[in-house]
Amino acid sequence: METFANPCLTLLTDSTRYGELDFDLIEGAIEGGVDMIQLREPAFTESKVIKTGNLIREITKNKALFIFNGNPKIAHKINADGVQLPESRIDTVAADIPKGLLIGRSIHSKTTALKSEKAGTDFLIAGTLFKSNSHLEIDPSGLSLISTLCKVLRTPILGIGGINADNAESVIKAGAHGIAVISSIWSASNPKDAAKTLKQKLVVN
Amino acid sequence: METKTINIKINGKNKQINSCMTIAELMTKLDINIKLIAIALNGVVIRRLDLDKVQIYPKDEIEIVRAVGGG
Repeated sequence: METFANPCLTLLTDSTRYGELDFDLIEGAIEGGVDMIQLREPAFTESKVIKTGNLIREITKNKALFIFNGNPKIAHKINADGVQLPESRIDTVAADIPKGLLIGRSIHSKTTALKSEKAGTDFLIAGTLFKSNSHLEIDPSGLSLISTLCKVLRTPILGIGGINADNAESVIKAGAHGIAVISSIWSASNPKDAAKTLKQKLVVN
Repeated sequence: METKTINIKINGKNKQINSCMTIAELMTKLDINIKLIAIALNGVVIRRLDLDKVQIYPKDEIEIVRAVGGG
Protein backbone atom coordinates (compact mmCIF):
# COMPACT_ATOMS: atom_id res chain seq x y z
CA MET A 1 0.00 0.00 0.00
CA GLU A 2 1.11 3.50 -0.77
CA THR A 3 1.64 5.82 2.15
CA PHE A 4 -0.37 8.93 2.78
CA ALA A 5 1.60 11.77 1.21
CA ASN A 6 2.20 15.04 2.98
CA PRO A 7 1.35 17.33 1.31
CA CYS A 8 -1.32 15.36 -0.49
CA LEU A 9 -2.84 16.35 -3.82
CA THR A 10 -6.07 14.45 -4.48
CA LEU A 11 -8.01 14.22 -7.73
CA LEU A 12 -11.66 13.17 -7.62
CA THR A 13 -13.48 11.86 -10.66
CA ASP A 14 -16.79 13.36 -11.80
CA SER A 15 -17.92 11.89 -15.10
CA THR A 16 -21.39 13.38 -14.66
CA ARG A 17 -19.91 16.85 -14.99
CA TYR A 18 -16.80 16.27 -17.10
CA GLY A 19 -17.87 13.37 -19.33
CA GLU A 20 -16.31 9.98 -19.82
CA LEU A 21 -13.31 9.41 -17.58
CA ASP A 22 -10.16 10.00 -19.53
CA PHE A 23 -7.66 7.45 -18.25
CA ASP A 24 -4.81 9.20 -20.06
CA LEU A 25 -5.69 12.33 -18.10
CA ILE A 26 -5.57 10.38 -14.83
CA GLU A 27 -2.15 8.95 -15.75
CA GLY A 28 -0.90 12.41 -16.68
CA ALA A 29 -2.23 13.95 -13.47
CA ILE A 30 -0.33 11.35 -11.44
CA GLU A 31 2.83 12.10 -13.40
CA GLY A 32 2.22 15.76 -12.65
CA GLY A 33 2.09 15.11 -8.91
CA VAL A 34 -1.34 13.80 -7.87
CA ASP A 35 -0.92 11.55 -4.82
CA MET A 36 -4.44 10.19 -4.49
CA ILE A 37 -7.14 9.31 -7.01
CA GLN A 38 -10.67 9.08 -5.72
CA LEU A 39 -13.21 7.27 -7.85
CA ARG A 40 -16.42 9.12 -7.00
CA GLU A 41 -19.13 8.04 -9.37
CA PRO A 42 -22.46 7.59 -7.60
CA ALA A 43 -24.24 7.02 -10.93
CA PHE A 44 -22.07 4.01 -11.86
CA THR A 45 -23.51 0.51 -11.60
CA GLU A 46 -21.50 -1.88 -9.42
CA SER A 47 -20.27 -3.67 -12.54
CA LYS A 48 -19.00 -0.39 -13.99
CA VAL A 49 -17.33 0.54 -10.72
CA ILE A 50 -15.53 -2.80 -10.70
CA LYS A 51 -14.27 -2.56 -14.29
CA THR A 52 -13.31 1.10 -13.98
CA GLY A 53 -11.88 0.57 -10.51
CA ASN A 54 -9.71 -2.31 -11.68
CA LEU A 55 -8.27 -0.10 -14.39
CA ILE A 56 -7.60 2.81 -12.02
CA ARG A 57 -6.01 0.35 -9.59
CA GLU A 58 -3.62 -0.65 -12.35
CA ILE A 59 -2.88 2.97 -13.28
CA THR A 60 -2.25 4.03 -9.67
CA LYS A 61 -0.24 0.98 -8.60
CA ASN A 62 2.98 2.02 -6.84
CA LYS A 63 2.34 5.62 -7.93
CA ALA A 64 -0.67 6.99 -6.06
CA LEU A 65 -3.26 6.01 -3.48
CA PHE A 66 -6.52 4.75 -4.91
CA ILE A 67 -9.59 5.51 -2.83
CA PHE A 68 -13.11 4.43 -3.69
CA ASN A 69 -15.76 6.91 -2.65
CA GLY A 70 -18.68 4.66 -1.74
CA ASN A 71 -19.37 1.23 -0.32
CA PRO A 72 -16.42 -0.17 1.71
CA LYS A 73 -17.13 -3.72 0.49
CA ILE A 74 -16.73 -2.61 -3.12
CA ALA A 75 -13.57 -0.69 -2.20
CA HIS A 76 -12.19 -3.96 -0.85
CA LYS A 77 -13.35 -5.86 -3.93
CA ILE A 78 -11.51 -3.56 -6.33
CA ASN A 79 -8.38 -3.68 -4.19
CA ALA A 80 -8.51 0.04 -3.42
CA ASP A 81 -6.19 1.44 -0.78
CA GLY A 82 -9.12 2.97 1.02
CA VAL A 83 -12.69 4.13 1.15
CA GLN A 84 -14.18 7.60 1.40
CA LEU A 85 -17.39 7.87 3.39
CA PRO A 86 -19.89 10.71 3.22
CA GLU A 87 -20.93 12.68 6.29
CA SER A 88 -24.23 10.76 6.30
CA ARG A 89 -22.28 7.54 7.07
CA ILE A 90 -20.87 8.90 10.29
CA ASP A 91 -22.32 5.88 12.10
CA THR A 92 -20.13 3.51 10.09
CA VAL A 93 -17.32 2.82 12.52
CA ALA A 94 -13.87 1.52 11.62
CA ALA A 95 -14.80 -1.97 12.85
CA ASP A 96 -17.49 -2.16 10.12
CA ILE A 97 -14.92 -1.59 7.37
CA PRO A 98 -12.78 -4.34 5.83
CA LYS A 99 -9.37 -4.41 7.46
CA GLY A 100 -6.49 -2.81 5.61
CA LEU A 101 -8.53 -0.06 4.00
CA LEU A 102 -7.66 3.53 4.78
CA ILE A 103 -10.74 5.39 5.95
CA GLY A 104 -11.43 8.86 4.65
CA ARG A 105 -14.49 10.83 5.67
CA SER A 106 -16.07 13.89 4.12
CA ILE A 107 -17.12 16.49 6.66
CA HIS A 108 -18.55 19.98 6.65
CA SER A 109 -18.43 21.02 10.30
CA LYS A 110 -16.45 20.76 13.51
CA THR A 111 -19.18 18.62 15.08
CA THR A 112 -19.03 15.92 12.40
CA ALA A 113 -15.24 16.13 12.26
CA LEU A 114 -15.05 15.27 15.97
CA LYS A 115 -17.58 12.46 15.52
CA SER A 116 -15.57 11.13 12.58
CA GLU A 117 -12.40 11.00 14.61
CA LYS A 118 -14.25 9.07 17.30
CA ALA A 119 -15.69 6.63 14.73
CA GLY A 120 -12.20 6.04 13.32
CA THR A 121 -10.67 7.81 10.36
CA ASP A 122 -7.29 8.12 8.67
CA PHE A 123 -8.00 11.42 6.94
CA LEU A 124 -10.77 13.94 6.51
CA ILE A 125 -11.85 15.90 3.48
CA ALA A 126 -13.30 19.18 4.67
CA GLY A 127 -15.27 21.75 2.72
CA THR A 128 -16.77 23.43 0.87
CA LEU A 129 -13.98 25.99 1.35
CA PHE A 130 -14.54 28.26 -1.66
CA LYS A 131 -17.31 28.71 -4.20
CA SER A 132 -17.37 25.45 -6.11
CA ASN A 133 -18.75 24.42 -9.50
CA SER A 134 -19.76 21.10 -7.92
CA HIS A 135 -21.79 22.77 -5.16
CA LEU A 136 -22.98 26.14 -6.41
CA GLU A 137 -25.87 26.06 -3.93
CA ILE A 138 -23.56 25.90 -0.91
CA ASP A 139 -22.23 28.94 0.89
CA PRO A 140 -18.52 28.28 1.26
CA SER A 141 -17.07 27.94 4.75
CA GLY A 142 -13.82 29.70 3.91
CA LEU A 143 -10.46 28.79 5.40
CA SER A 144 -11.77 29.18 8.95
CA LEU A 145 -13.14 25.62 8.73
CA ILE A 146 -9.59 24.30 8.24
CA SER A 147 -8.02 26.42 10.97
CA THR A 148 -10.80 25.52 13.42
CA LEU A 149 -10.43 21.81 12.73
CA CYS A 150 -6.67 21.89 13.03
CA LYS A 151 -6.98 23.17 16.58
CA VAL A 152 -9.10 20.23 17.73
CA LEU A 153 -8.09 17.28 15.52
CA ARG A 154 -5.02 15.14 15.04
CA THR A 155 -6.29 13.57 11.81
CA PRO A 156 -4.82 14.86 8.53
CA ILE A 157 -7.24 17.18 6.76
CA LEU A 158 -7.58 17.81 3.04
CA GLY A 159 -9.45 20.91 1.94
CA ILE A 160 -12.01 20.68 -0.86
CA GLY A 161 -14.25 23.03 -2.81
CA GLY A 162 -13.26 25.63 -5.35
CA ILE A 163 -9.54 25.12 -4.83
CA ASN A 164 -7.28 26.26 -7.65
CA ALA A 165 -3.68 27.37 -8.20
CA ASP A 166 -4.48 30.83 -6.79
CA ASN A 167 -5.82 29.70 -3.41
CA ALA A 168 -4.18 26.27 -2.88
CA GLU A 169 -1.31 27.69 -0.86
CA SER A 170 -3.70 29.43 1.54
CA VAL A 171 -5.34 26.08 2.35
CA ILE A 172 -1.99 24.63 3.42
CA LYS A 173 -1.13 27.77 5.37
CA ALA A 174 -4.43 27.36 7.23
CA GLY A 175 -3.16 23.97 8.43
CA ALA A 176 -4.40 21.41 5.88
CA HIS A 177 -2.26 18.41 4.85
CA GLY A 178 -3.41 18.82 1.30
CA ILE A 179 -6.20 19.55 -1.12
CA ALA A 180 -8.77 17.65 -3.14
CA VAL A 181 -9.75 19.02 -6.55
CA ILE A 182 -11.98 18.20 -9.48
CA SER A 183 -12.35 21.02 -11.99
CA SER A 184 -8.85 22.49 -11.51
CA ILE A 185 -7.47 19.40 -13.22
CA TRP A 186 -10.37 17.93 -15.23
CA SER A 187 -11.09 21.21 -16.99
CA ALA A 188 -7.47 22.30 -17.40
CA SER A 189 -6.13 22.67 -20.93
CA ASN A 190 -3.07 20.71 -19.76
CA PRO A 191 -4.09 18.55 -16.78
CA LYS A 192 -0.55 17.28 -16.15
CA ASP A 193 0.80 20.81 -15.89
CA ALA A 194 -2.19 21.84 -13.76
CA ALA A 195 -1.37 19.02 -11.32
CA LYS A 196 2.28 20.06 -11.30
CA THR A 197 1.42 23.68 -10.54
CA LEU A 198 -1.02 22.72 -7.77
CA LYS A 199 1.55 20.40 -6.21
CA GLN A 200 4.15 23.17 -6.20
CA LYS A 201 1.67 25.43 -4.39
CA LEU A 202 1.28 22.83 -1.65
CA VAL A 203 4.95 22.86 -0.76
CA VAL A 204 4.93 25.89 1.51
CA ASN A 205 8.11 26.90 3.20
CA MET B 1 -6.42 -15.01 -50.09
CA GLU B 2 -9.52 -15.35 -47.94
CA THR B 3 -9.27 -13.71 -44.52
CA LYS B 4 -9.95 -16.07 -41.64
CA THR B 5 -12.61 -14.88 -39.24
CA ILE B 6 -13.55 -15.82 -35.69
CA ASN B 7 -16.71 -15.43 -33.64
CA ILE B 8 -16.58 -13.47 -30.41
CA LYS B 9 -18.97 -11.55 -28.20
CA ILE B 10 -18.74 -7.81 -27.63
CA ASN B 11 -20.91 -6.51 -24.80
CA GLY B 12 -23.05 -9.62 -25.05
CA LYS B 13 -23.59 -9.44 -28.82
CA ASN B 14 -22.20 -11.91 -31.33
CA LYS B 15 -19.61 -10.45 -33.63
CA GLN B 16 -17.42 -11.82 -36.38
CA ILE B 17 -13.93 -10.36 -36.60
CA ASN B 18 -10.73 -11.10 -38.44
CA SER B 19 -8.51 -13.57 -36.63
CA CYS B 20 -5.13 -12.61 -35.16
CA MET B 21 -6.30 -9.23 -33.92
CA THR B 22 -5.20 -7.63 -30.68
CA ILE B 23 -7.62 -5.79 -28.41
CA ALA B 24 -6.08 -2.46 -29.46
CA GLU B 25 -6.47 -3.33 -33.15
CA LEU B 26 -10.10 -4.27 -32.58
CA MET B 27 -10.78 -0.96 -30.82
CA THR B 28 -9.19 0.95 -33.71
CA LYS B 29 -11.37 -0.99 -36.15
CA LEU B 30 -14.45 -0.16 -34.06
CA ASP B 31 -13.32 3.47 -33.92
CA ILE B 32 -13.24 3.42 -30.12
CA ASN B 33 -10.83 5.69 -28.27
CA ILE B 34 -9.02 3.46 -25.77
CA LYS B 35 -8.21 6.34 -23.43
CA LEU B 36 -11.92 6.61 -22.52
CA ILE B 37 -12.78 2.98 -21.78
CA ALA B 38 -12.07 -0.01 -19.60
CA ILE B 39 -11.95 -3.35 -21.43
CA ALA B 40 -12.59 -6.70 -19.84
CA LEU B 41 -11.66 -9.91 -21.65
CA ASN B 42 -13.63 -12.88 -20.34
CA GLY B 43 -14.35 -10.92 -17.16
CA VAL B 44 -10.80 -9.75 -16.50
CA VAL B 45 -9.91 -6.10 -16.98
CA ILE B 46 -6.98 -5.76 -19.38
CA ARG B 47 -4.05 -3.63 -18.28
CA ARG B 48 -3.61 -0.60 -20.51
CA LEU B 49 -0.06 -1.65 -21.38
CA ASP B 50 -1.34 -5.00 -22.59
CA LEU B 51 -4.04 -3.78 -24.96
CA ASP B 52 -1.78 -4.04 -27.97
CA LYS B 53 -0.33 -7.37 -26.87
CA VAL B 54 -3.40 -9.42 -25.99
CA GLN B 55 -4.67 -11.48 -28.93
CA ILE B 56 -8.36 -12.22 -29.32
CA TYR B 57 -9.32 -15.88 -29.62
CA PRO B 58 -12.53 -17.50 -30.87
CA LYS B 59 -15.41 -17.33 -28.36
CA ASP B 60 -13.74 -14.59 -26.34
CA GLU B 61 -16.15 -12.31 -24.55
CA ILE B 62 -15.12 -8.68 -24.59
CA GLU B 63 -16.78 -6.04 -22.49
CA ILE B 64 -16.20 -2.42 -23.39
CA VAL B 65 -17.03 -0.14 -20.48
CA ARG B 66 -17.47 3.58 -20.99
CA ALA B 67 -16.56 5.25 -17.69
CA VAL B 68 -19.49 7.60 -17.52
CA GLY B 69 -22.61 7.60 -15.37
CA GLY B 70 -25.92 6.23 -16.52
CA GLY B 71 -25.80 2.44 -16.41
